[in-house]
Amino acid sequence: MNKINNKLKEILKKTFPKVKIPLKKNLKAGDFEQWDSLGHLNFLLAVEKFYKIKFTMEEMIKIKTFDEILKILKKKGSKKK
Amino acid sequence: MNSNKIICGTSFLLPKNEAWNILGPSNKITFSEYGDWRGALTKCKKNQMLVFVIFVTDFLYNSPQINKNSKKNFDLVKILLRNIEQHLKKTSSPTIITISSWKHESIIRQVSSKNNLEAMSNNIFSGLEKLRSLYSNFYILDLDKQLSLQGIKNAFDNRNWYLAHCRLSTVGLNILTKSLSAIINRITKPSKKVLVLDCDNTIWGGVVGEDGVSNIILGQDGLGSAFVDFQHAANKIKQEGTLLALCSKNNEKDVWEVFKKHQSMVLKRNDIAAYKINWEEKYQNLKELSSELNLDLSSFVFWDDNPIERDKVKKMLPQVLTVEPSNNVIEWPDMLSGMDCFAKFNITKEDAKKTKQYQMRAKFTKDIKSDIDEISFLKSIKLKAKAVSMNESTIKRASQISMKTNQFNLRSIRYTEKEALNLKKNTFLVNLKDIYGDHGLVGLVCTKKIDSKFIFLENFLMSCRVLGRHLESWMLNKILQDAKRSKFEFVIAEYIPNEKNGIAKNCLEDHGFKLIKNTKNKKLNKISLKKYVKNGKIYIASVKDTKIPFVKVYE
Repeated sequence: MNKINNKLKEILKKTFPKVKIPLKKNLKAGDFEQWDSLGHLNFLLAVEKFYKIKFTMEEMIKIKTFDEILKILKKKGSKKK
Repeated sequence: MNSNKIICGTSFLLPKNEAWNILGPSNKITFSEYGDWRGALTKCKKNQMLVFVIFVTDFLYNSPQINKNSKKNFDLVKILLRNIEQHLKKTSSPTIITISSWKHESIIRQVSSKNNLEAMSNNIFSGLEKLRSLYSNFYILDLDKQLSLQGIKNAFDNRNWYLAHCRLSTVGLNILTKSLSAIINRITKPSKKVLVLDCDNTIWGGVVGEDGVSNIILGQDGLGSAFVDFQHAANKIKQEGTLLALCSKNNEKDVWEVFKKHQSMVLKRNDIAAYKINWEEKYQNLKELSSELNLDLSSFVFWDDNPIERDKVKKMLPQVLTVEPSNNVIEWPDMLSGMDCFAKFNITKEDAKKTKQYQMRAKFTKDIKSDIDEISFLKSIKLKAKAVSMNESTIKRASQISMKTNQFNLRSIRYTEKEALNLKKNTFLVNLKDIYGDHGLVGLVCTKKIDSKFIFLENFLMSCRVLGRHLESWMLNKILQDAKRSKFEFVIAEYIPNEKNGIAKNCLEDHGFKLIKNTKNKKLNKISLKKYVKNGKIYIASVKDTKIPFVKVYE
């Protein structure tokens, strides 16, 4: 689980290269200014691309936190660890 | 890649998505507000590149009534085209428009009659095509063709549409940005100049030294025809102005025997501008080809079937573009003709003559080496230079030569075709002929009046393939003569050094120009040069007193 969490952090960093990511575990949309709705969409698309999965529209609207993403990745059985 | 860009679209394009990073630093890219392409077209500044991404379905989506009314549809296209033309009129920077007209549609409707969407996109395309013939620096891309390489279905995403009004999926967005980057790359950088080919198992199958001319794989059937098509592809890029060279570990005699005797050879010996057929290391040979052709290795592309040779060249000469061809030769013809690095937006008359010109150059270099007295040799080859003024037919070449000439170039000022249009006054191209043939338009000179006494040498460049003929002397002499006739007293010139133009370093001094160390020099008569010069070395020559050497070799 920790491994995926770290990977998500890496993807987040790549999506927001100029931002210093806060040090906490369950990061969520809105934690910093640039992580607005467009930023969140770009982040989720990058997660999809990396894990080769696809979120449904409902999921895209609902998920806001790392924990929620982790849950869905687990459910979808992502091909990467 | 680093110029300022405005990007707008008929729908949302996911600004800041990592797909856009390929177009350069994000602080240089401005996205217009969602769907506000009209605002972007009017606000775009003269020096900003504009990218406009059109999805024809967006027009129908925003006003569904148009769907049923073909006149309104037509009006909308008119407005669109008028807005684009107004933008093209005022800009001096490149404009790129991509169009996608795909929409999911029943196959029955597709075969029954033309729908409105198709009619509309046809109208847009033909309107843009007209504009393209009127305005240079304007590029139109049919995006659907690019998207279809990955499958249209993968490229669009309804979820992104309903979530954020973005038509494209991540895949589609990446195709869009990669296509844009390929176009922008070619606008800002010249194409590659030399394709170096291996022989055995590259332009034919098998090893000629072992199999013999009649047993190599080359001909009408199967794999043999793939090699034939590969040669056709190479021949096509040669006709568009890329030089072909051979670099092969072989006995030279064997290779030329194939060229001479094999019925299915497409390439002929005189299609090859230079060659190294021996048992030396290929990177050594590439270096020699580069000095022989006098072209920088960074303009070389190397194609070889052997991964070991490729890896060696990659390691020793990273500036050469080493192609990683597919293991499957049948993919090669498409791969070569699809390579962006050779393709050009415009083919000029000069391009078709390129190989011939370099062969002439090679012969000249050989002859001058064998003659002891340079001056009498040059006098014997009947050099004839001529100034050619700027007109419709030469503007393309003026822009091309300003973009491509890196070495003998005092200030490396580049002109797009549109900028070249404004040059007509005080600008001329130089044509050179001698017994080796017509070298075409090989020099460009552009001067600017500073005041009644001074003129400034804004641009001065010469193609390196005519080096050694003192054409630069003829050009400088012509500038001084013209200045004299117009009653100017001094010519101010500037040399701006960079990585590639070292060869022009002493040109001004060698021709009697004097270096000015201090711009408050009293010779300058208090004129301000700030408007003209950059931060290079500044020189001055008196029109009356400067004697240009070597001019006598010209008739």
